[in-house]
Amino acid sequence: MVKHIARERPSARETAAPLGEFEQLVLFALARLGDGTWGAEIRRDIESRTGRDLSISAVYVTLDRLEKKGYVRCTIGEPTAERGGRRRKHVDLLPAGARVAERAFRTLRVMTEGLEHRFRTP
Amino acid sequence: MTADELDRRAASHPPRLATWLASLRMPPADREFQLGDLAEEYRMVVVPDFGERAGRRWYWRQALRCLFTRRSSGGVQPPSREPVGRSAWAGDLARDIRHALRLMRLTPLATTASVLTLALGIGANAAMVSVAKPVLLDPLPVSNEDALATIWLTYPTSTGGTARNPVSAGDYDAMRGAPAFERVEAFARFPAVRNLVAGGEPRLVTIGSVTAGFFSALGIQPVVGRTLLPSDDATDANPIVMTEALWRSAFGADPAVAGRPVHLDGTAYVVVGVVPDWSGIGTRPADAWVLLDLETHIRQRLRAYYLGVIGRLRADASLEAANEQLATIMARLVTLYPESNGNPPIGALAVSFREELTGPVRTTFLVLVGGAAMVLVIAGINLAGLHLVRQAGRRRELAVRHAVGASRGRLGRLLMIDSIVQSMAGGLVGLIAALVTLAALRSMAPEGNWYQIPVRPPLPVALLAVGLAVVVGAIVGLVPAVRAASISGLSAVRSRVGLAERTGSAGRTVLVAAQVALTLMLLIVATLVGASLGRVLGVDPGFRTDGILVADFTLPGDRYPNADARTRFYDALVERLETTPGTGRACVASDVPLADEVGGMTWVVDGHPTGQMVGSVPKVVSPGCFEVLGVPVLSGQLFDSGAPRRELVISQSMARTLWPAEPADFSPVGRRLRMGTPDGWLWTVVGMVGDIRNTSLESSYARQVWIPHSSGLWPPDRLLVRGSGRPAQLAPAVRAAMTDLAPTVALANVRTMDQVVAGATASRRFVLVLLAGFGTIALLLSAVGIYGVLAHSVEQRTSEIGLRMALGARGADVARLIAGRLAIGVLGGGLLGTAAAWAASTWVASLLYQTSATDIRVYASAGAFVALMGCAAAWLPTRRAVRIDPLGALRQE
Repeated sequence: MVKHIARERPSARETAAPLGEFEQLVLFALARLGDGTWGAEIRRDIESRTGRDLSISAVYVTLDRLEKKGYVRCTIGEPTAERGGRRRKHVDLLPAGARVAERAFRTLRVMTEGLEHRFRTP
Repeated sequence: MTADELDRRAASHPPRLATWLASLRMPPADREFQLGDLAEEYRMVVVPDFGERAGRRWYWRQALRCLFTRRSSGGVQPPSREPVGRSAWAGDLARDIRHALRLMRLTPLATTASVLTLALGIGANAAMVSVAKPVLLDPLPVSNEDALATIWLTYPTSTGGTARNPVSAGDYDAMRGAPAFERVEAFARFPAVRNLVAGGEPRLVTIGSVTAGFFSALGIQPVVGRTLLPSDDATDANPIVMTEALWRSAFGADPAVAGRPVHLDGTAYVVVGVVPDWSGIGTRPADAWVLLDLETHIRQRLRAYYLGVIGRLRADASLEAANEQLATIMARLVTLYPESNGNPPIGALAVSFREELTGPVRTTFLVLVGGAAMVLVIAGINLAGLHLVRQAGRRRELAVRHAVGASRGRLGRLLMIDSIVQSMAGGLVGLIAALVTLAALRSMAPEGNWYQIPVRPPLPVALLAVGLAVVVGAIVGLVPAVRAASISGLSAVRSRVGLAERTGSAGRTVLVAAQVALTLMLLIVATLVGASLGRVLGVDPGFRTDGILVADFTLPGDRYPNADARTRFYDALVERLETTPGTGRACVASDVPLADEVGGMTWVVDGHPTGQMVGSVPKVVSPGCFEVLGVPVLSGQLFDSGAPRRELVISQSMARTLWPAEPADFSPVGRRLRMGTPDGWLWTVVGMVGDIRNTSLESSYARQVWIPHSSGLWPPDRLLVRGSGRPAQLAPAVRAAMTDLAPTVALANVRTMDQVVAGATASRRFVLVLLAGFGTIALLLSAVGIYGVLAHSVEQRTSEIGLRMALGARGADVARLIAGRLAIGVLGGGLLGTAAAWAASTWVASLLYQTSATDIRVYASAGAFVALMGCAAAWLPTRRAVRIDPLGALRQE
């Protein structure tokens, strides 16, 4: 049985810019880590969960793209000694971002339902 | 976390190089945050958990990932998104390089052809520049070489010229008075072979003799201890300095070698220092040096010309001023000592030390480097042809790329990078080729040179080679790149016979002409050098070279203290060898023709009214030498090995010079000569023999005087044995005979006379092998080039040819169409090459012996060879064109 997933209609912009797989992962990490998180934390979260080798650049390229799509907002913090005197870029998940993340999550969940026996999970 | 701990962590810096690498491809707007994140994670998470070492490894991994992250990773990228700035440029470059590498993988045959073509050119150049660098470019390994001068004696020759001569002790002493020189030092031009005993077995070493200030005048710094010093002259201890090579082989590179006693033929010496192997630069090769004691010879004004002289000019003095002063000094000597310096009047000439060393070989090296450069140009032309063909094959691909949005500049850059990447590969393979070439050159290079052929190309040369490859790649890639930039959408759909094709073929004809011109020039020079070597090898040296074994030895002075003892030993040795099965005649001699440099000696006809002194090459020999060498006796007899008598055998040219008024069939037997000066010892001529070439095959016959070894004048230290079989097989028997008679005397340098002759022509062979090698490569490359141009042209014009044939063109017409323009190219190139070779003939003439640099036969044969090559290369493509099936070709279109 197929459940209906489109409880609310996505905006035109949200449908025009489909989410890449890595963009989904970044959005999920943002949802978990909460507002104010930054690139390194996101990279570590994805790397530790998926086991993928990730570069910090890949995370930033994706954040940049998500920001342009209106899903996240970045703010600049103060420089610190442990960063070698560099500033930190904090990331907040915007409501549009939260919506597409939720939709991606649900899509994944309904599409993977009943497949547990087929794909062995670790 | 304590404040201290925070401070410590903050102090642990991530690797700077990795940070810089990581930053290369980060967008400037984000660079601060990304690097900050890396640094923070490194300090706060990775180093505390895993330690500094692991932390650094982690950081490097992250940095490299950043460097190689693909911009599109992880998301769906809008097609319009073009990266800008430095990172975009780097990204495009990386993509183009990846593309070029992929293309190389996909077209292995074409890639191998271009890489090998360039590798030949780069390899030849890297090897030749490595060899020529010490001679042409590098400063000499002495301090302030510009202030050093070599001084010769000069005397007028009978032909009106001036000849140079080594210096006598008395003249050297006078030269020291020239105020332009800070110091004037001397060395013996004829090093001696001695038995060196340093604790263990004796070993035969070559000992040079120099004045005490010689090494300091050159500015040689010792490796261990010190060099010889002027204060050594006053001490009783005999100081000796040795080369690093001898120090390593005889003393195991013992750093405490200074002060150790050694024995040279029984005389005690003390090692005072070790100097670099090249310390005898400008002198003759030697393993060690002792002090040259000139006092006695200066006092006696001995007329023995055996010194080389080197002067260091004062800072404010010029070579011209020094030569003026030397002229004044020598003029004074002519007045003071008319019998030794006045007839003929002896002068002196100071020449630049560098000129003296590099002058004789400079032209040779310039010709060789020039030859290598020509190979590179020919390779470059071939490469350009290959790239044009390749680009023609890619025209549709490029047009499609252009149609879907690639700019013309972008396409041009793609082709340019394609060409440069291939050329760099060619450059790297070329360096490997250079390594192999250098190893081959080392094995065949003439021995005894002051410069060494390096094992591998020096770093600047290697960098130059790769740089050259990039430049060639850029130049070669320029034409396809410009063409790509002018590509239009129309050309993608244009038929195979295009206007662009026609215009391109004119350029290719010019390239073929250039290739042919260079190849012909190389072949002409190589043929001239080859003909010249043939002439040298055809020279009759005046003695037989086959079947003779030669070896060096020396008798220790403590066991054989006087001439009698030595003569007894020589006679016993010769007798022993002559009775050994397999050997024929044997003898001892003071030098081996064509192998050793010998000094001069003057003779005066007894009772000559003006006391005219005639120079000669003296040779101390035992009687068997005439038979061993096969020197013909023209009149009189040979001296025997009986009691010492002052008897001489002279050569024909010596007799004619001494008695010019006598008829041609005159015999000098019974005439008497005085040695050195009109009041010297009296000797009787007992026989006259044929002339032999002594210093080189190219030089004229020297006036010889053969002196019996029993005279004890100076010890003969060469052994010559003639055998019935192959001479090399005599070596064990000769060694055994020597060991039986004198266990402490070592035989060294055992070789055959044929090897000696080969050594005398080694320089010519070396040059010939290189030029012939370059010529062959040039010929092959040109053939491939001509073939490539024609084959490509036939392929491009298949339908045109088909059409022409369908309309009635015959085979000959098609052949003319295809090969006609190329024939013009080959002909034009041939004329150009001939003219260029003619123009360079005065330059090449210095490499030749009895061969005219404008020998028309050589030009004609080289031209015929190149024409033959052109025909052979054009044969296959033309035949293919003639055999095109008109219907099939038209159908294809």
